[in-house]
Amino acid sequence: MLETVIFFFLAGLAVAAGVAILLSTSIVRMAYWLITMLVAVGGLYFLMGADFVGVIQILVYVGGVAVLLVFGVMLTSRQLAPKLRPGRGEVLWLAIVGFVLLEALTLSVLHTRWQQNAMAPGNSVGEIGRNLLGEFLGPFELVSVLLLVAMLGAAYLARPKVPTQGPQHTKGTMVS
Amino acid sequence: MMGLTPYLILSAILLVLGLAIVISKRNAIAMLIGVEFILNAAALNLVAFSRHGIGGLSGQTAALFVIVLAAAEAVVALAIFLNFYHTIATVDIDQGDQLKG
Amino acid sequence: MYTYERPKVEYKGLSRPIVQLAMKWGPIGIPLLLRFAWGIFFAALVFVVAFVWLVGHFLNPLLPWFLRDLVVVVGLLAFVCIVAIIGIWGERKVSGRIQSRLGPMRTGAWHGWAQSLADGLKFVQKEDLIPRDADRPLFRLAPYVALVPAFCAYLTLPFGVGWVFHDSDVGLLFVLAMLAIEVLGVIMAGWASNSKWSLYGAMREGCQLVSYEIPMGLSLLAAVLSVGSLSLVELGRVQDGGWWSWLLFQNPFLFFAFFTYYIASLASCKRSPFDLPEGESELVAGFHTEYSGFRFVMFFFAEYAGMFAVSALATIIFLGGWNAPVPGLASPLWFVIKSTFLVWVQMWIRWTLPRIRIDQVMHACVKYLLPFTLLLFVGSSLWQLYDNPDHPWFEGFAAVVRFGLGGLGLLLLGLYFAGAAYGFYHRNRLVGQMVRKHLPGA
Repeated sequence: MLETVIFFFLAGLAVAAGVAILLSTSIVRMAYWLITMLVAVGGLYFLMGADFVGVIQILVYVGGVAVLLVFGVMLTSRQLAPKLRPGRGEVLWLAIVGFVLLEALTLSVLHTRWQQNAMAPGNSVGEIGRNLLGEFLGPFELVSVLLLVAMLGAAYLARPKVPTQGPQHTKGTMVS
Repeated sequence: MMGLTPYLILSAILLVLGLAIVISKRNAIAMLIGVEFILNAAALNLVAFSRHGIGGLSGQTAALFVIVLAAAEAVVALAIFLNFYHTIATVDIDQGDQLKG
Repeated sequence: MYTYERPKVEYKGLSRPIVQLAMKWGPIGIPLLLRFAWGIFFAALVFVVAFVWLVGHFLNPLLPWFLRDLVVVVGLLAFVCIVAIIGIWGERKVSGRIQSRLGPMRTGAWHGWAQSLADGLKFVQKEDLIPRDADRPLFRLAPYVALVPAFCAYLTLPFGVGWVFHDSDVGLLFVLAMLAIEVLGVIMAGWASNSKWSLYGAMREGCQLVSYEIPMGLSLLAAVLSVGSLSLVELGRVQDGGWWSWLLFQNPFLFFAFFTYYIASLASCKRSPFDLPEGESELVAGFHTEYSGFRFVMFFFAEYAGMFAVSALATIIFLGGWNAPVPGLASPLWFVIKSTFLVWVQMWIRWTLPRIRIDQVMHACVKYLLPFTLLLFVGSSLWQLYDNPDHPWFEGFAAVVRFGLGGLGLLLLGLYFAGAAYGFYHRNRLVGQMVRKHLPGA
């Protein structure tokens, strides 16, 4: 019973965050609704007993990706940006496409007979570690290489350059 | 006791919301936010399946990979976007309609 | 003759009845409170103990689990508040002594112990000021985003073997994750203040905190490798064999990992020498420039709660947690003593070392601390690989090294106590005799 209440609270929070982002015009508010959604999904992971994934979600997503996005927001919205809104026709098409997709997914979920047997909650960290070095060894190594490439690529792309046009910025060397 | 379907429906809703954000926003960082929604929906789906016994713990491991990949992708996307911002000097991606630069 | 007239301030909302009450009963009530302070304190203590005993004995079988959890959470919250209050008072006394003065001496008869309470009362009655162009919802939200994770980190911290709210399998990572959320609160505060100085402080602080999380996590992981579990209770239980079984002395790499973790945690708590985000002489007050009154108290509490939390983490993982130096005398009191000692060392470092510039901070992290921590991590794992009965020579060597490290630890502790004894013996000469004699209550 309590689990249901917490689930609906967290799920409602995540969905409300999404809707708020759709309706919002300030990019800073959008970033903080994203953080709300990330924490809500982390809470859902904890609710499901996936402790390790939940902690990694908060540590990496909230403590890393969200901070990065907020930095990006702060670096690029210092000037008075015009409020960018989509046009009317776009909103209608968006609503139609969105609802159709949602209906398709929901109906397919509701009409499938899932075999549900609850996993025994226990210490999942060791098992996940064994998985990473056993079954998922290939993806694990590939992800390491991918992270290295991403870091190098981002560092190269974000290197300080002399701007040929546009406003003069201070060198953003500390964010790299 | 929660079943599997509420989690799947929630992840479907988050996916559609993310898609809506990606499509409708003109600010590049807002698009990134939408992509994060989509990735989170996928990871939630995977963990929900793992929690309800389908696939063992591979679901949680795969969700870990999704989180890591999302982080890497956010880093590169933000670097590209900052590059774009330095040349075009606005956050509106509709202005980035030239292949040069 | 000029007489002081209290400016006419219009109090709105909840503060109005509180301020009216305080102004009516304050001049009588506060001296009475301080006169009977000891009596009130003991009465409160007896009352709380009686309440807890009653609840524990008579209501425990009837209490649903969440009410028990609620009581524990309230107890933790009280503990965090007491830590913050004593921390603020202690900081002022410590800074005073290091600067050859006495610190607060008047509020409360003994060494100004009530200074924190007086500060609290002062902050509560301050005007609630929000800058005109500030982002109001975010401005209001930011102190809570900074304070709540700092408190949530205590939920998985074990004070003793049975003294933990939730013995999570990933307790260590949970504490690190909570400390990572604080970054966002600080950035939110800096942004929402709509002030250049706050924004600079916030951005510098964001860089610093996020960068120093890596050496912090790696040093802790080096210790986790030798135990094999992320659960904090397990990490503490492994060290229950006495002084020489503490993880600090298992490995020369872990010995240094403690120091790198401590340095990284200094940066993570925004403590000097890394306190540029709140650099008092540079950015007014950094990211919390525009915060006054109770919101500032929240940031302050968050800082001291975070300080105690990272010290507690260092205690559990490296210094044996709740275990005594001899096996068998384990108690939560040891945990509190050791964590308080580490907090006191943090304050000591703050008032001794000068502040470091932001580029020096980043260089120190990326160029020195991070490669060193990686070396420690690799070294510790290689040590683990060879320190087993398959390699008897190495095992013997490792035992000798452990013995040596234990001796080194004893030596350092002895040096500390020798210095403290010297300072105590010569305290008149070092602090200033005139200061000691001419203050009331000294």
